[in-house]
Amino acid sequence: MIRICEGLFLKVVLADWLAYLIKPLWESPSAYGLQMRVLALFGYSLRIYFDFAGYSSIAIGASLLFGLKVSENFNSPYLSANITDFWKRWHISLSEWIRDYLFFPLSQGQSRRFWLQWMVPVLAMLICGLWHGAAWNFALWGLWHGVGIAVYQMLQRWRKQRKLVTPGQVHWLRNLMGMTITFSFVTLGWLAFHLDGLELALQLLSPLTLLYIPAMALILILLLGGFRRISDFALSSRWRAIYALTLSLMFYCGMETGFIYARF
Amino acid sequence: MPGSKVIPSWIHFILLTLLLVWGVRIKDWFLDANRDYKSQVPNSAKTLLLGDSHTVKLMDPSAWENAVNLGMSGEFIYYSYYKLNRLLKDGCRPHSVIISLSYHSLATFPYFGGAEMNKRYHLLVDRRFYHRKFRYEDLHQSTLARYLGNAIGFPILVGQDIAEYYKLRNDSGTAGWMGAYEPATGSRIGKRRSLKAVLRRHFSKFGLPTGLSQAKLEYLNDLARLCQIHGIELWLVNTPVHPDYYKGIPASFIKATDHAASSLGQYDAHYLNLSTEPYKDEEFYDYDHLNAEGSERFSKKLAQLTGGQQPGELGNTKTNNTLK
Repeated sequence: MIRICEGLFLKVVLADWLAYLIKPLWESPSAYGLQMRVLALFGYSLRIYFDFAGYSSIAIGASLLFGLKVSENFNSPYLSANITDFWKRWHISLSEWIRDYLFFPLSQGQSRRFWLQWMVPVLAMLICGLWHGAAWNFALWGLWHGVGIAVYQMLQRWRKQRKLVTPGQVHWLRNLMGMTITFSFVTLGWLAFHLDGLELALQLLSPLTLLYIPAMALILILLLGGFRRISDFALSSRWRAIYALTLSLMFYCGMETGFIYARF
Repeated sequence: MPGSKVIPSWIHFILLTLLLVWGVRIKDWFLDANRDYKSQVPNSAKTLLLGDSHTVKLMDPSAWENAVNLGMSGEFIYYSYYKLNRLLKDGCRPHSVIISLSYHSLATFPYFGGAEMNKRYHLLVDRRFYHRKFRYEDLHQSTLARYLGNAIGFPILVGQDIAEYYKLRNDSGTAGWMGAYEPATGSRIGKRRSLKAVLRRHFSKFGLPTGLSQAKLEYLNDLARLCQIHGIELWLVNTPVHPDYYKGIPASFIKATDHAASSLGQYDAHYLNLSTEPYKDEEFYDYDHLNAEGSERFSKKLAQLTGGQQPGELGNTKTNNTLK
């Protein structure tokens, strides 16, 4: 029941309210300033997370009522320090399947071939994108992530060769920078996921976007991280459920948005 | 009680109480702000078309001179009463009001869109609505939640009041209860299962025969009285249904509805029973609604009968109480 209450809160309060508030921004982005367009983009990024995480939480809770233990599907993905880490925390059930059945088999013997090192993550993520639907926008979204992972892995290899990677704890500032870059990258990727993404993408073409997007990502990371810490530190799971249920009853938005991931 | 990691339970109780008190305050604030919203019906409107899906699908406002269709699918007579009440308060002064009144309109059939209707109209209704609903109809959890929210001020669904506020204040925003003319296209006549299903839905309740709703009858009277007080000509229109559907209506319903509607003559209301008017199968969308083709012909005829047709289309105008 605790998981169901938490899921309800994520869906009917956070996700639906975000959907409600960003709807006019997505419908006519040209009517708003650049800051608002960036807000629309991050609003959608958070909405898709809360919607899907709420959906997963309700499913996990409902399964537990029948005595079935279902594995977790999310682990604070927007607080990931890099794109590989993101895919270990986002839609875990799908990303583990892709890792085990696409990524690892394709990676066999790839280390010597440079082009294969690039192609494997791109191909795996392209298939992941097409899993969401046979449409160009999902393919583009998959490619975006595939290229991101490939670049990150190449960079890591290069750093290892140059012995720039030091074992032990990463400095918090580097960690925060990594989170900001990853969150910004993932959020930009959602432009391809949304049907009206192309229109918003064109409206975001401005040098100032390069400033606003990381700034907004940093603010949200601090908020999400802060909220997670307080919640973990101060609230037991039962009290979390009581607050989640009370807030869901009070602030249920009443918008019939459905679950985004129910389509896939 | 559930334990806490750091914060003791009594602090949680205080926080939850504060949350509820704060919720009550913001709910009241947003409710008041929403009630200030002025409906977008022009005060020059001469004819208002109100009612359920029969108004939405069948009554083309362009057939009348200065008419507005505010019909809403599933709008029962009590909602139409409150809608008219609100429009009058907002300064609307219509000459006539036309409301669809079908044989199932006054029935106590279970309507599964009740929660949606409560959400749309909760800003219009008063305590009397809830009292009658509780007295005469089944207790629905959404009705109870709205009652608690509106009458007692309990902060349930405060989020919806906030959402309504933002929608109304948006330039393109219209209230959830406004409604419009939306003719149906195509025809579903010929599907026997759909006929049986619709008859069962309209005239039985969980498989058992049902009767007229006392709450709806009382609101029908209130509506007629309201129109009489404001000098508005009220037309209750029983819209055309397919002959197969008509045959399936229990005789007791036909008798009781005709009697209830005709008795409103005491408030100078007119009852136009056009349920058996001949229309071709191709003009029906389903067994109890005409499609766009049928509604065009029907609207012109209804405009003539109610005497509010466009100036260029003046013809024979008949204003009998019952034409059948």
